[in-house]
Amino acid sequence: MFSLESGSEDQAELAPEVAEASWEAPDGEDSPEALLRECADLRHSQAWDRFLRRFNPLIVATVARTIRRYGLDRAGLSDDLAQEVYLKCSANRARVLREFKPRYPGAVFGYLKVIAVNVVHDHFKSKLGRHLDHSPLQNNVAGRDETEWRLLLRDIDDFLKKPPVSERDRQIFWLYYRQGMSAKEIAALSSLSLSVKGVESVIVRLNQLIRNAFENGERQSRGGLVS
Amino acid sequence: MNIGDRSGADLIERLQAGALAHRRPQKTRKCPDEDRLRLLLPGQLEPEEADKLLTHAAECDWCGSVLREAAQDLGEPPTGEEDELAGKARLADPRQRRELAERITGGGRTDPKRWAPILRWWPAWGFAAVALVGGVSYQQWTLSAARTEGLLAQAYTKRRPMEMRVPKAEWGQLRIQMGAGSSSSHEPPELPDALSNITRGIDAHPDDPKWLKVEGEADLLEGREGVAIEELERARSLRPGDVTILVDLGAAYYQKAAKADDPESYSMAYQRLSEGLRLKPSDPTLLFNQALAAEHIQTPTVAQAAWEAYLKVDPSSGFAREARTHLDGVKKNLGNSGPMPATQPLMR
Repeated sequence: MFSLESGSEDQAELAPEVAEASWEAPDGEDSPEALLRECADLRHSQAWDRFLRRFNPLIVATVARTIRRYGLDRAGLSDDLAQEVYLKCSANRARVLREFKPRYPGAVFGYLKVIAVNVVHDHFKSKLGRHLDHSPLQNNVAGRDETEWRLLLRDIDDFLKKPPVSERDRQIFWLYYRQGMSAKEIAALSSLSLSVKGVESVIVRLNQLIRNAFENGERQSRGGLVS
Repeated sequence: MNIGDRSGADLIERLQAGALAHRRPQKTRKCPDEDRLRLLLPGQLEPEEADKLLTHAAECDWCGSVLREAAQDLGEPPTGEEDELAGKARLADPRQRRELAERITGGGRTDPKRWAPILRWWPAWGFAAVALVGGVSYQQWTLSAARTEGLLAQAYTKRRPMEMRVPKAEWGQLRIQMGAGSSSSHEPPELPDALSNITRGIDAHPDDPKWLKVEGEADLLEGREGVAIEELERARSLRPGDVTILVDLGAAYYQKAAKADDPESYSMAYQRLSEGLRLKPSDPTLLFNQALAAEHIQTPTVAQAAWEAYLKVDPSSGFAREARTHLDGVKKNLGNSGPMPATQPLMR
């Protein structure tokens, strides 16, 4: 996950919005955005029927995947929670649907999936009274000095906070190297508006910049890289 | 720390190895709402908020993990197994789908364009009223949660959709539900006015318990008790001492129980109404509703006592007539089954 080599494999994969193609509107039906707008008026039972027919497979699949993270599946749970998703969509005069902003084609699918994921997490939080356990990625690297690592983090971060590095690139660097997200996972953050290739390019560029800075002793002239 | 240790290719490798070994996912008070964080994926946040959340997630091991897992879960298309599960889902059955659609929409009872002329002229009426009283206060009042509650009470009285009472409503003839099966032409005009106010009110004050309460009540009157329970429970958590919320909540659970023949929901209804009576022991609406719920989950002697308690505070209204009919029914049951021992109720 951490190597750039694995990032290069990501380039061959489909972008998330392309991967949604199998859920696209059948011929002659409303666009998903139009359907959402219709359902935001809670008096349209036919629109809701179409909504359920079109999105239920997507929502059930998302719910089932998220349930597996908790390892507590039971018969019918994904159906029950999918129903909760629809209740959430219709609550507060369908506020969730009214708030949706179609920022790019196919955004509806990602939006509904996030709502479904949130419903599952909320369910387990209220039932189990706890969050999903985010244990460290690995904890078996012997002999690593945490203090040294934290100093290294701080110094690199000081470097990244200065021009020519942008705040967006700094975020990408740490999502990759500290949070362990792959280039593909980072590119899935639509807020960044970057392809997998774009993310990889940022990482390679910053990687080189940091190596150069340390090797050439630029750190001293920039200040803050000396511990 | 020796700076020489950090040079060369080792630097990035040590950074990665350190992350693997020393990441400490711990939620702190500074962590944002996780539901918002996940909205970074479909790009539904304003750029400023998105930037703030990304900066936090990049540095916070807890939020970084939340984001990483969400990206993993949402970024991949469904597997064959998930597709298969979706194909076998309950809502793959068209009949169940239609039923849920009807529940969500309260039966799709209204042509949405029907009230358009009224809504179109709403600003004009509002303006005229303001001009009459000489200020903006009237308009504010017409759009307020209290006024909306009054509209709902009037709608209830004109076309009472359920046996349970709602706050501030006069007695009305019990009719078929406003929801499924009813004709839009019989919808009381107060209802669309109330709904229009609620949409505005909730948009402006999404976490205001007063608006959540009237919203829940409107959904209840429209036959969407599942949604109503969610909204009213939220209102209750924000304002636990408000008995009008507890009245509606009890009614919503009762309606849910009646539709699904669900003893647990009857029990919840009784619980919420009893909670209200602890706060306001002589409230006639609470007493009436609790007596109704008692018939389903309590012994007949408890139900009898509940109706008698109600009739002490309201001996003469239309609701009192109904209470007497219920009381007679309970007594008849008691008579048929012989003298009842002072048994424990099913629940307190």
